[in-house]
Amino acid sequence: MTLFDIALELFSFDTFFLTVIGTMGGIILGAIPGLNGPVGISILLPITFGMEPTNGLLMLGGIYMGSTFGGAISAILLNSPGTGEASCTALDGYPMTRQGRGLEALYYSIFSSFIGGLFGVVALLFFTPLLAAFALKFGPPEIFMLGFAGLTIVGSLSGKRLSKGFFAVAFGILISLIGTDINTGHFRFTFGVKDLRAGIDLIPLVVGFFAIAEMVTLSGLVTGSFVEIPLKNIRFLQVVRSVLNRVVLLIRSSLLGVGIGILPGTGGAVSAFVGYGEAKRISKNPETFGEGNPEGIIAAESANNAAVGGSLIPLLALGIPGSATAAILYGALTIHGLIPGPKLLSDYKEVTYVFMSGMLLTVFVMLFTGLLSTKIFSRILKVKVGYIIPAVIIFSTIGVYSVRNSLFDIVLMIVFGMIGVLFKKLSIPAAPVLLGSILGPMVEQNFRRTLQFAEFSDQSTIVYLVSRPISAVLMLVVLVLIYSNFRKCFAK
Amino acid sequence: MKFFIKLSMLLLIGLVSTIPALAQYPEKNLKLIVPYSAGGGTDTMARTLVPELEKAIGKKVIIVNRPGAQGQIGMAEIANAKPDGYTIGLLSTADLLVTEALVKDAGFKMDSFNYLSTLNISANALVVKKGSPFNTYKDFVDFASKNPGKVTLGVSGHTHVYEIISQESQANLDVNFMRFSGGGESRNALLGGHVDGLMIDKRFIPTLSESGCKALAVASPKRFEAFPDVPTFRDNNVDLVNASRRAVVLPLGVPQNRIDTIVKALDSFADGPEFKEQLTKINEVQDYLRGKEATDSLYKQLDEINIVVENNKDAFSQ
Repeated sequence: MTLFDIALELFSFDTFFLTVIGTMGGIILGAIPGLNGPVGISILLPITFGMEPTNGLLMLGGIYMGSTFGGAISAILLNSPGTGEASCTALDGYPMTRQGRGLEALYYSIFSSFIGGLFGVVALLFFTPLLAAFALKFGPPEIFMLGFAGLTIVGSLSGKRLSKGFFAVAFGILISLIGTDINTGHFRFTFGVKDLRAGIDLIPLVVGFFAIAEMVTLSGLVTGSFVEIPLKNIRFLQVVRSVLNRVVLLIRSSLLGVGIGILPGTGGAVSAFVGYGEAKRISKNPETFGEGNPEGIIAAESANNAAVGGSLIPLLALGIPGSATAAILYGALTIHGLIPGPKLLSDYKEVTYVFMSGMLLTVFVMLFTGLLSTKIFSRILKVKVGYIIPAVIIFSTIGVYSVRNSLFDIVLMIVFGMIGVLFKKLSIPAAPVLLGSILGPMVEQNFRRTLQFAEFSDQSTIVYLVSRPISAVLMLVVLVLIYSNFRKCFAK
Repeated sequence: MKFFIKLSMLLLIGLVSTIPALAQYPEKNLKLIVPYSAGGGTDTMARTLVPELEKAIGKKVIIVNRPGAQGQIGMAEIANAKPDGYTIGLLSTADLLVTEALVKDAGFKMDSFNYLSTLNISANALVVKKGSPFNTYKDFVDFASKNPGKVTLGVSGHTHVYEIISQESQANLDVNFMRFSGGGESRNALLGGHVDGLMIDKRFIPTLSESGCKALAVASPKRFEAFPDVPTFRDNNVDLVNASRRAVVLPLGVPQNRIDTIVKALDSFADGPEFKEQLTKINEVQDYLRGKEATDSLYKQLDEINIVVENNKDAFSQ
């Protein structure tokens, strides 16, 4: 199959049209607080069954790519990210909005998402077998060390008081312990509530802590329109130039995103957190993060879109989904008779390569649609708060319900919303709570597996961890990260 | 006077709105609860089933995914749904059986459901990693019985645990368990060589063998046509048969005429060659069992599981 054949297929009317529709739909879906990619893909899954495999898959792939960026829109403009992936974008995006720089923040997010997405898809197109093989070297000890390294990001998310950040991350880990313990099958902290046995989903937590808490707080503070100060206008090319001035940051977070996306049990949210944390740690002005530093947006958005391509790599090459969204795509591929795995790349070359190249198209569609729609989206800021608050709450409720079709999750969202308001009053940051609840299970389960592996091989856990090259390197990284977190404290 | 006009209008509205209740079932769309996330095996089966079921029953069938706690949340919801025939469930019998045998107070019991039919037959296989010294199940048994605690197997879920304990007690093995939260994670550990082998649904055999892994034995009553080279555990003198099927169920108490309508709809296609072909496409094997036959085979399987659980209490309590 030549490049020409692929292009011919890709630019045939229906394939092109459905890819564009999927990507645009994904952006809108992501922009609605509470709604997100996995929900959109599972709703549209049945529609794609009747389509040609490439068409159906590209429409879903478009939603995945588009919604990963779309989440930034509600995160930046309303401080209401609908997913874990977008929550880091809110940290600096929303303060920029309050300063009247909402449009600028959106431009930053579009361009960084574009570059990140490009990195992911290029890795998918050219390095799939290589990267899939490398990812397999990450066993439980490596994933444990990686998760541990991720937890050290709390230092970057804590604001002025490290202790408050630690409290928040511990709260998040505690939340993640609720549910069925997979090692024993016992129920932890369920207090006899059967719904809690399934554990706490990330979406009600994110929406509660961000969207609901923000809307409740706003309802007590602001009247009139959302942002009172005049909105600053800025040209897209100015933003592009400013992003390209930070090319090292851009490339680093994109590569981090791809790398983390490939690993099992991770995904865009972990990528965004790690990208953000690293950007702040390395920055010369870390104190400006959280107060509207565009570098925070660049890092988070390039990392989470890079993870899209990354998470498709193990899916297509090995049949192992790298994220929740990729898991649904696994089902979509299966229903079309395309069983993900090594054979996909040989026996179903046509479909697979058109799909992979089509993902490249989604990145460009995302850029152009994003650019055209930012002005429309940023008009939200002139709408009266009295209309925004109920709208956000309604959409959040629908979105949270649709993740697991669970009324209980709506109750959770409200509870977390109230806790979120309390956290705001006590100026405890919310982002570490998410960090803790995302990484908690990853660290805990893999730590317990590591203990078992060490026991099975009659080694002490430390010896076992150090004897594996990748985990030894990661352990070193963790030590450096911990040191750099406390460096400021030592200096005082 | 005005009051009476209003009253009679209200009565009229009330009357009109009761008329559809007398109309023929189904008069509105049905809901199919799948106790797992979108994209998984049972979900894929549901999405293959639904278009056919819709054609046969004449109404839309909406899939509602209710994942959590290995199907327990969704299964409890089906069991406690209003028995009006508008809520159907699609269960994985493997999870249903081990939940019944091992989980106390799950919010439902085996006899909380009316089993209309089972659609397919599948089973878990023991698959070993690439480059494994075990070429046959006998190799594995020989090594694992002589070298206690030297072989590590990946498991995700109670079913796998049960199946390995059953092998251990019959063939005198002692292997290590490594628990994973799902099939994706455990397959990843197998491909990376972090575990020596794992228990996994037979539909993953093709992809795993493409990556150099080997399936040694499968827990089905007879070999699968698609994998003639993979023997059963029985072929290896280990009496482990634990077929897993997808069952269409209703909560108890649905009126008989409505049950009949759904059964008739299922009968019209689920045993046919076209549906067989669709199942083959998603790597599933058709094996249509109706009501009583399906129920009996499930309870027989439960008895077998209970015996193993009873004889190996220590192993299960860990």
